[in-house]
Amino acid sequence: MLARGASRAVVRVARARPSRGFAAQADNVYLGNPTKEWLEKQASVEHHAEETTQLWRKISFFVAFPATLLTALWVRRVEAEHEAHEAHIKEEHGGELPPTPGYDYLNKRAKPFPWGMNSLFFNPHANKDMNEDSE
Amino acid sequence: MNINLNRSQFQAHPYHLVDPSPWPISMSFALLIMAISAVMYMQGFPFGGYLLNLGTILVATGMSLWFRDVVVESTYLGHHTEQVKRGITLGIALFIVSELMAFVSIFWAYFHSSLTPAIEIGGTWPPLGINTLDPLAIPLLNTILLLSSGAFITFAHHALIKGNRRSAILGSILTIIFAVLFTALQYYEYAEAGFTIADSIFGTVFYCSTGLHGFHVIVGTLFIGVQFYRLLQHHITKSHHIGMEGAIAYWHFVDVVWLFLYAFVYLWASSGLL
Repeated sequence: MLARGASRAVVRVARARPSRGFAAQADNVYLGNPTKEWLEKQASVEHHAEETTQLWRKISFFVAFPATLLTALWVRRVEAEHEAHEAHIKEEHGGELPPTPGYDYLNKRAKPFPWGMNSLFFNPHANKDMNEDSE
Repeated sequence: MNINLNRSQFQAHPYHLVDPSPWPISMSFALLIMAISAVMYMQGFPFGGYLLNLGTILVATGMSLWFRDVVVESTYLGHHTEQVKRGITLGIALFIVSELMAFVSIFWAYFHSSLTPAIEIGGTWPPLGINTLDPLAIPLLNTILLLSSGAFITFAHHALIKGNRRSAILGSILTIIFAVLFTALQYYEYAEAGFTIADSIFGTVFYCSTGLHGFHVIVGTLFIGVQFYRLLQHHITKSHHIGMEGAIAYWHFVDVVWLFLYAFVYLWASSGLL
């Protein structure tokens, strides 16, 4: 009796019922079968997606990652050069960066910002502190 | 169990007639409060700052609750038929076009100021006294980061269509990491730049254009983040994921806008070709 149950289970699995109803596979010469068309379109999209996934996987790991790494190393070098150049200028000018020219279109303050006289990303090393009273 | 559905309620059309919702009217009030309070804050009116915080919180909350309703209607209630999917996809495309027009207006301002530089700024672009950022330093790295994140999300999308859950998750995580790196580097550039938004028209158009772009990067990252969370929660199938597709389209749009910014605001201005 146990053997009968086991063999029935094997047959059930082996029959492999379709995932949709039989109407999905039916052919109607006059009206077509939208479900069948949709399923076929999905199957072809999925099949195509395999190649496209492989393509973009390769682009991601063999182009994107190396390009990012190399650019990061390059930028590190450039930034180091900039810093050295800036240090050299500071040295020549006596320890400080030369002040930006006093053109009236630079550091324009028709009125203070809502949070004070300096901009939102104010950096005392790079920008002029507008809180100090000078001219 | 009463599921409130019987044969007389059979929907003989593929569209989604949404249930009445409070979020559209709430959002319109929230946006009005935010817009007016922003002006109040910038012009120094009393309580401008507090109202701006309130307005921002209301907008963010309204958006969250509205989008949450859309997720419920689609994933949990099944209202999104193929026709509804087409409509939403078109809607997202039109939204991206409207965002593009906002950038067009800022680029217009940039070209107006830079193609015929006023005599008051020295008749040259960039204006005299402005030290531009080196375009072959961090901005170049940012370009590579955005392009790479575009590749990662494309990989994730096609893996999703194939039904490869692991690769879809991996690609999405990499995209988000690179997006956050971009934002962090832009913040660093903003903090270290020798010019501020108040430094002539150059500073204004530079920070307005890159700032608006940066805001879009943050929103785009959040969009991908939400879709990534939904992917993890099994909301998504390999043939039905218009939210994810919208996030990907928005991200590609952000990437393309950056390429234009990099070309015209970074490279061209620093090149001395003017």
